[in-house]
Amino acid sequence: MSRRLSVWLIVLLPITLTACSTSALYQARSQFYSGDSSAALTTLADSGVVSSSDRLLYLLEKGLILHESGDFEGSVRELLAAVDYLDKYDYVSLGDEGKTLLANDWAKRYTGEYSERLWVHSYLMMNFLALGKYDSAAVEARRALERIDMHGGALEKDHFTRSLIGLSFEAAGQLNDAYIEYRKLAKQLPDGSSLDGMLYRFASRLGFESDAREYKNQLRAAGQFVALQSDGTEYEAIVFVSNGFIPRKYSDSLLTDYDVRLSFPRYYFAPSTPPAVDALINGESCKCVSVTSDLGHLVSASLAQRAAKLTAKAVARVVVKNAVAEAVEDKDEIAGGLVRLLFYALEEADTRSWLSLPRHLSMVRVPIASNDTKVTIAMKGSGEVQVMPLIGDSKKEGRSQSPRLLFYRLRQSGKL
Amino acid sequence: MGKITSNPERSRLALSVGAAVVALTIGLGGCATTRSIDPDSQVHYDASYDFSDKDLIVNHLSESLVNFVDGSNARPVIISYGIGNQTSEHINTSGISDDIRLALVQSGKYQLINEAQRANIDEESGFQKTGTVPESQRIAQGRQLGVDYILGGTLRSIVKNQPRQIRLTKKKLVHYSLNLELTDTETGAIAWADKVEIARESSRPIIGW
Repeated sequence: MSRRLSVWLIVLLPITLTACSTSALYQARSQFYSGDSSAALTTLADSGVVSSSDRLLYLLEKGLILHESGDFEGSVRELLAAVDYLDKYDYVSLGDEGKTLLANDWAKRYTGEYSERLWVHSYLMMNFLALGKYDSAAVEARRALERIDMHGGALEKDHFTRSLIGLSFEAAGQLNDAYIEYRKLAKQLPDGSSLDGMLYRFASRLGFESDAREYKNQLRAAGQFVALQSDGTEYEAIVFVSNGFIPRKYSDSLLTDYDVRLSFPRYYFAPSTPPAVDALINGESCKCVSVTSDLGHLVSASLAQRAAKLTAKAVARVVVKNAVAEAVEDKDEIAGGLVRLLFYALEEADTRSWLSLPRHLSMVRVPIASNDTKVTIAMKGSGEVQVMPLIGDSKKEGRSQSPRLLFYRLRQSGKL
Repeated sequence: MGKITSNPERSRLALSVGAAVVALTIGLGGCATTRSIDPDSQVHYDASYDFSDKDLIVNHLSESLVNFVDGSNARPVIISYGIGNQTSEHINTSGISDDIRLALVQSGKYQLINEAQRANIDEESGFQKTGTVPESQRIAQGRQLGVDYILGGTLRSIVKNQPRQIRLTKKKLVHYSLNLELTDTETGAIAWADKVEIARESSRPIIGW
C-alpha cells in the first residue's frame, strides 16, 4: 500500500465513522410539533428510514406520537420494542467505543439518557391503564422501580412517574404496593400533606390502624377530616396532562489548545412554570390531588449524572486523536495538518435525544360523587377550558375498584 | 518510522492474513438452523420465565389438585378466574390456568365451568328463542351447574441484580413463586392451596462487540 494511500485512509476513516441523526426523525418531529401527528406517523411508517444507531430514537418517537394519537396498542408495541432494544444492548460495545474514539459519540448506538429509559415505562403504564390492562400496567410499574433503583439520583425526583407507579398498582388491586409508593411520594413532595386523605383511605382499607390514626390526626389538625368523611366519592377521574416540549441538547466546547477541543452535550433551557390545572365538575372547581414533573430539569440532571464518564471519554478521544495526527504528521506534514483540522471539526457532542416528550407531565385526580363523567379542565391564566376525552374506565374492564377509575388525557402544545 | 516500500514477502503475508480473516468471518457467521426439541426438556436462554417453567408449574400444581379429591364422591364443580401476574415480565398467565384446567378435566375428578363461553352461550340461547329453532331442541333453561369452588392464584417474582462493582459479567437472580388456591364458595374458606417456587441465576457479559 502506498504511503499516500495509507495517509488518506486515515484521513477518511473518521468521516466514514461519523453519523448524524436521521433526517426522517427531524421531519417527523417537525410534523408532530406542528400538530400533524398522522403525517409524522406516515414519515415513520417504515423503520428503514432511520440508521441502525438511531433505532431506539425511532421506537421512542413513534411510540409517543402513537400515544398522543390515541393508538395505545400501537404505542405499546413500539415502546415494548424499545424496552427489548435497551435490554439487548445493555453492554459496553467495543466496536462502538472504538469508533467514538476516532470520530465522536454520534458514531455509536443511541441508548438513551437514564431518565428517557424510565419514561419508556411511564408511557407504557399510561397506555396499559387506558387499555384497561391493569396487570400489565403493574408489570411496567415494577420495571420502572427497577430502573429508579438502578440509576437513582435524579429519577428519584420524578414525582409524576412515582404517582403513576402507585396508580398502576392501585388499578391492579395491589393496594399494599400502591400504599408504599404513595407514602414515598408524600415524603418527596414539597406539599406531601395533599396526599393525607388518600393515604388515610388506603391505610384504613389495608387495616394499618396506627398509620390510619396518624393521617386522621393530621387531617383533623388541618380541618379536612369532616369533609373527607362526608365525601361520597364513587368515581375518580385521573387526568394525564402533558404540556410544552422537552428542551434540546446542545454541543458545548472547551478549547484546551488552538487546535484541540473537548465537546460535551448540555441542556440550556428557560425556566418554565408547570401548568396550573384546575378541574371543573359541573362548572365548579374541585380540590384535587395534582402531581407534576418537569422533564426538562430531570433530563438535565440525568445528563449531569453521566458528566464524569463523558469527560473521561472526551479526554481519551483527544489523546487518541492527537496520537493519530502526530503519526500522520511524521509521514506527511500537510496530511497531518488536514487530519488535525478534520479531528477538530468532528469533535461534536452527541446531541441526540427523545424530542417528542413534553416539558411537563402532570397527573390530576378528580373525585366525582355523581355519575357525571363530563370532566372539564381549565388551565389557570389561559382561560382555556377543555372537555376531556375519556380513554379508559375500570368498570368497563370488569374491575370492581372503589372508587371507579376513569382515565382522561390532555396534551397542551407549547413553545419549543 | 521507516519508509514504506513495496515488498513481495510483505504482500504475501498481507494476502494470507486477509484470507484468514475472510475464512474466520465465514466460519463465525455460520448458517441458520432449525431443530425440534423435546417439549419436556428444560431449556433456558436467560433467567426470565419460559415454557419449561410453565410446564414445571402446571405439572406440580395439577397433580396436587387432582389428588385433593379421591373421586369416590360427586365431582366438584370448579370455575377458574385466572392467575394474577405480579412479576416484572409480561407473562400470559392464562397459559398456566388453561393447562391446569385441561389436567383437571382429563383427570375426570372435577367438572369445570367454561367462564369464557358464558356470553356466547347466552347469545346462542337468545338466538334459539327467536323461533328459528324447534322448542324441543332449544337449550333448556336453569340447567347450568352451580360452582362449588373458585380456582385462583398469583404468580410473583423477586428480581435481584448484582450490585455495581468492578466485574466482567452482570448477574441476575430471579425467584418465581406461584400460589394457587381453591376457595369454597359456600363457606369462603380456602379448601386447598399449594405453591411452586423456581429460582434461577443468569449472567451476561458487560463487554461485547
